[in-house]
Order: sequence, then C-alpha cells, then structure tokens
Amino acid sequence: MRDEVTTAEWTRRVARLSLWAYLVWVVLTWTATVEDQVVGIIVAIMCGLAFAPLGPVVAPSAVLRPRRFAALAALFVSCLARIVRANLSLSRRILLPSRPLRSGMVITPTEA
Amino acid sequence: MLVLSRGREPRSEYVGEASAGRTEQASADPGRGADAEESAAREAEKEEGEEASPPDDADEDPIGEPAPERALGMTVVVRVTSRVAAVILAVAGVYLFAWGYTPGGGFPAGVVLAGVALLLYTAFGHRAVRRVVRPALLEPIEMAGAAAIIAMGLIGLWRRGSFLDNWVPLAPQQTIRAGGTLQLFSTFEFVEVATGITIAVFALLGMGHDWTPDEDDSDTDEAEAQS
Repeated sequence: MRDEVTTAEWTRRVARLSLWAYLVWVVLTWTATVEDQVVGIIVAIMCGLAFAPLGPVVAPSAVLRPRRFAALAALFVSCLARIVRANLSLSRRILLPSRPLRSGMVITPTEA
Repeated sequence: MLVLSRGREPRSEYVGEASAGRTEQASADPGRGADAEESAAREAEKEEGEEASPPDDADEDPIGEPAPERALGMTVVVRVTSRVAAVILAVAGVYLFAWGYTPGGGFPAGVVLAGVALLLYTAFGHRAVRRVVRPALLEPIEMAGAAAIIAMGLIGLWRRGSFLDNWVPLAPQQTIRAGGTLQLFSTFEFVEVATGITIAVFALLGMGHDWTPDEDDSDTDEAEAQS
C-alpha cells in the first residue's frame, strides 16, 4: 500500500492523522502539562505512521467549513433528539407492556 | 523456545498453520496417508479455493450474489468507519496505560490495541495487517515485553531488596509518572498483552479446517465396557 502513494501524499496523511490523534488525546487527558503534551505528540505521530497506509485522510480543518460544520451540528442535534426519543420509547414499552411491540423478531417453531 | 524454533517452520505469517502441520506430519509419520473420505474433502476444498479470485472489497461484489461473501475487505461504509474508530481506539488504548495506575492499566490497553488489529483485519482483509501481524515481528516483541517485566522486578530486588519494589523516583500526583514502577509495569504489560492476544487471535484465524475424520474408538469403548 505504501508504494502506491507519493511522498507528499504520504506526509499529508501522516500529518493529518497525527493531528486527529492528538485532538483525541487532548480530549481524553484534558491536562495542560508539558509531559502530557509530549506523550500525546509521540502517540499521535505513531498513530499517524501506523494508519497512513489505509487511505486518504481528511484534514481536521475541514470540520470548520461552514457547510460541513452545519451538517455536523445538525447530525449532533439529531443524534441527541433520537437518543432521548428512543429512551422515552423504551421506558414506555417497559411500563406499558400491553402496547403492540412490533419488534420485527421472526419466531420459527422447531421440532426440538 | 518459540522464537528459536520458528525459523524451521515453512511459513512467515499466521496463515498456513495447517500446511505447516501437514509437512511435519508427513516427516514424522510418512506411512499414514489420507483415507478416501479425507482426500475427497480436501479435493473439494481445493476446487472451491481455485474458483475466480475474490474481489478486493465487498463494493465490487455484485448485489444479490449467493452467500458466502468472498470479498477480502468489507464495504466502503465499514472501511471508513473502521479507520475513524481505529485512531480513536488506538489513542484511547495508550491513554489507558499511560494514565493507567488508576482504573485502566496495561491489560485493558493491550486488549484494545489487539482489537484495533482485528477491526482493521475484518474491515480491510488480511493484506491491511500482514506487514505487522507476522510471527517474526510479534513474537520477539511479546517476549521482550515479558522479559522487561521480569527485569524490572529484578531491579527492584537488587536496588530495594524486594521483587517489583518501586525504584523509580515518584513524580507529583496527577502526572503520568506518578505511578513509579507501576507505570513501567503497565507499559510493558501493554506490549506483552497487545502482542500476545494478537498472536493468539490470528493463530486461530489462520488455522485451516482439519478434514481428518475422528478416530473410531468404538472398539476401545466396548472393550472397556466388557472389562
């Protein structure tokens, strides 16, 4: 896989992946010490090198483009709404089991 | 011993365990060949494998083809999702052992990393992981991880008079190095567990189906029942 891409593309992939991995590290650790940042940078670069052969990578800055940012915000709101609605729906089914469930489960009788 | 004996095995990856075993069987017991049933099963499997080479991923598989799927990788949806998840999981795995003297530690971190290898294998097929997942690389690393844990314990015995006693200066709380040797232990455990589980999983995945019929031991059972 490594041989199919140019060095520039390879460097771009490693840099972008490292940046994504570093952002994940920052969110997970949320600690602003030099030690933590150095470890985070090393881990991020190793991740970048490890996963670069898998294909092209979108730069984190792409999230800031207005259309994509709006789409992501809409997705986030939609997810939140669906999570709340699914939980309420499940609670109602548990509290009122007489409701028709329509689970989609197929029950096949066996001879056993 | 595993590493020392590995050089004699006719394989370089975890795939091929069955063929390695057959070669050994042929040299150890050349008189015993396959019977008619086993030969027919092996021949049928060989013919199945000789059909047109499978597509690279499931996107190239025509829709509506009868099962089983033969594509090496999964669809573009699974592949892209796996790549996103793999980065997050890998960083989270390292986080588990780097900050792992509180809940977390080397074992769960190692399992997470082995899971990443398995995830990529599932989504992209064997070719995506073959450069990393091979005995010549993983087994020495696994042994080095185990040896490092023992060496770290022995240094404790030498410096402090007790096996695995802390001999690293302790950093202030809420820092990565606050765990002392526990932190080192977690790191080496991470290496050991990640490689060990990957070896175990891929060794099982690489096993071919053994078509050898079971030994007929009904005569032995009858003899035991009579005695």
